[in-house]
Amino acid sequence: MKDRKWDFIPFSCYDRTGMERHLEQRAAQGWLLERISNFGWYYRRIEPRQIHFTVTHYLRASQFDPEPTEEQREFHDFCLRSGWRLAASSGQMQVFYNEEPDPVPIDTEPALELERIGKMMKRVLPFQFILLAIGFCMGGSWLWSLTHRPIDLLSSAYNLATGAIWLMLFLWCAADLFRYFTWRHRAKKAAPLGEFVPTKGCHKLMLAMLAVAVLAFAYLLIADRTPGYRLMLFLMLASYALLFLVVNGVRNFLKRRKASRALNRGVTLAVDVALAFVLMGAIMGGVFWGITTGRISSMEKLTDPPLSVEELTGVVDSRYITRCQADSTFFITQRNFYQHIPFEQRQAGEQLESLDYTIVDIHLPALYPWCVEELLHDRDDWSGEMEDGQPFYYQYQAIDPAPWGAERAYQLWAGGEPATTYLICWQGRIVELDPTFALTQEQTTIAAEKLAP
Amino acid sequence: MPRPKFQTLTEQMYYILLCLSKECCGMDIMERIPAMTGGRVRVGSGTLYNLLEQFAEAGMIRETRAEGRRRSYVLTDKGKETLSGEYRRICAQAWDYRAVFGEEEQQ
Repeated sequence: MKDRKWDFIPFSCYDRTGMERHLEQRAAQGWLLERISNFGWYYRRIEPRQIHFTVTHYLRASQFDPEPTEEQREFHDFCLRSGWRLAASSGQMQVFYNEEPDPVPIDTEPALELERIGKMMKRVLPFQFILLAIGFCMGGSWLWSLTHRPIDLLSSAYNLATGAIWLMLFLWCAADLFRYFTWRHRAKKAAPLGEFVPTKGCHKLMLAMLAVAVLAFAYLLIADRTPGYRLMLFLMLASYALLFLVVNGVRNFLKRRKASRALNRGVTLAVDVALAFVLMGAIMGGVFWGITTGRISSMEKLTDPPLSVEELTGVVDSRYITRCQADSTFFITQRNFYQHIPFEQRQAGEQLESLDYTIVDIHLPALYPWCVEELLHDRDDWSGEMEDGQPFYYQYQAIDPAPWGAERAYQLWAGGEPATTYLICWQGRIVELDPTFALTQEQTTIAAEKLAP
Repeated sequence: MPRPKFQTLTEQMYYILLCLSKECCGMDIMERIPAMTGGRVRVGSGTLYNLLEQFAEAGMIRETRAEGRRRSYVLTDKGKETLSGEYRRICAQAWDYRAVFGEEEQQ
C-alpha cells in the first residue's frame, strides 16, 4: 500500500474555501498534505479522520526565500499556540491544520482577511487582465473566422486546436475574475457585520481548459501531416517543458544552497530570460532552415492529381509541376492543387495553360451551406478597373449544373464578362476550379468525372 | 467612503489593546482575552498577529522586549487615547440605551 499521494487541482489563488474543503476531504480519506510544489500537492498517509484546514497568505514571504524568515516563524508560532500546525507552504500561501474538534479559526476578523486577499490579488490581477485581453482578441478572431471563413478554420487542425485553447483561456479568465470580484463585493458588505463570505473559484473550468489544451495538442500531433511540422511542434512543447523544469530547478537549487531571496530571484530570472531567448532562437533558426531547405513545407509534390491540365487540354509537357496543400480534420478536408510550369520559366515568358483548384469535402452535413456561402462570397471584396476607369467587382452567377452532374454550379463574372473560375457543388463536396482557359463542354465532362465525389 | 483605520475599534481590537495596558507577550494575549471575557471573545492567531503589526505601525503599541521569537508590547499614549475614545463611545451607547429603556429593564 502506498504511503504517498499526489494530486493537481488548479485552484484560483483566492479560493481558500475550495482548497480547505478539498484538504478536509483528503484527510477524511486518510491523506494529509505535506508539501506543495509547482507540480501539485503531495500527501502522506494518515488514519482517516476529521481535520480542519486553513489556507492563509503571509504576504512578506516569497517563493525565493531559502527558508522561512524569523517573522514568518513567529507567525507560525502564533498559529501553533492555538493548535494550528503548518502542513505546507508555497511562497505566500500557508496551509495549516488543526485536529481539535472546534478550534478558534486563524482569521477571526473578516476585514483583515479581505485586506490581505486584496493585497495578494493586486499582484495577480494585472496578469489575469492581460490574459483576458489576449484571450478575447485571439478567441474573438477565432469566432469571427468560424462564422466568416469556416473552411480555413475547420479544416486546419492547428487553427482548431489553438482557437479552442484561446477561447477556453478567455472563458476561464472572465469567469475567474467575475467570481473574484463578486466575492470581494459580498465580502466588503459582510465584513462590517463580522461575517466571512466563502470563496468560490473556477478550478473545474481551469481543469476543463487544461483537458482541452492537452487533447488539442494531442490531436494536433496526431492529425497534422505537414512534413516537419509535427517535429517542430514537438520541439516547441519540449522547449516549454525544459524551460519550466530548468527555472524550477535553478530556484530550488539556490534555495537549498541558502542563497538570499534577491540573489535567487535575480539568477532565476536571468536564467529564465536567457534560456527563453536561446530556445526561441533555436526554434526560429530550425524553422527557417526547415523552410529554406524544404524540410518543413505545407506543399507536397504530386504525380497523380485528381485532375490535370494534360487530361483537359491533351498537351503533355514534362515541365509541369503539380503541388498539393492539404488540411484535414473530422469536420472538413480541404485540398488545394496547383499545376504550373516552374516560376522562372513563366517569368521568362513561357506561356502554358495552368490549373488551380480546391476540393472541399464536408464531413459534417450541417456545415455544408456555411461552406458554400464562404466560397460564393470569397471574392466579394475583390475589384478591378475597366478600360474606361470604371471599377468592376467579381461575382458568382448560377449556371446549369447538369453538365457537371452537380446539385448547383456557378461561374465567376467580372466586369460583365465571364471569368474562367467555376464553383461546383456536389453532395458533401464543393470544388472551386480555376483554369487559365475557358472550359469546353468536353472538358467540363472530363472535369466533372474526375472531381465528383 | 472607507472609514479611517482604527477610528472605531472592533471588539477584538478593543480587547487586544486592553490586554496591552500592561506589558504583555503578544502570544499570551490569545489566552488572556477569553479569560478576561469569560470565553465570550476569542481572537484568532492570524488576526492577532496582523493586528499587533498594524497597531505597532500605527504607533498605538510599542515593542518592549524580544526573547527569541516572543515579543512583548505595551500600549503607547496614542493607543491609550484610542482605547479611551472607544470606551467613551461604548459608554455613550450604554447611556443612550438606559435613556430609552431605563434602569429597571437593565435589572
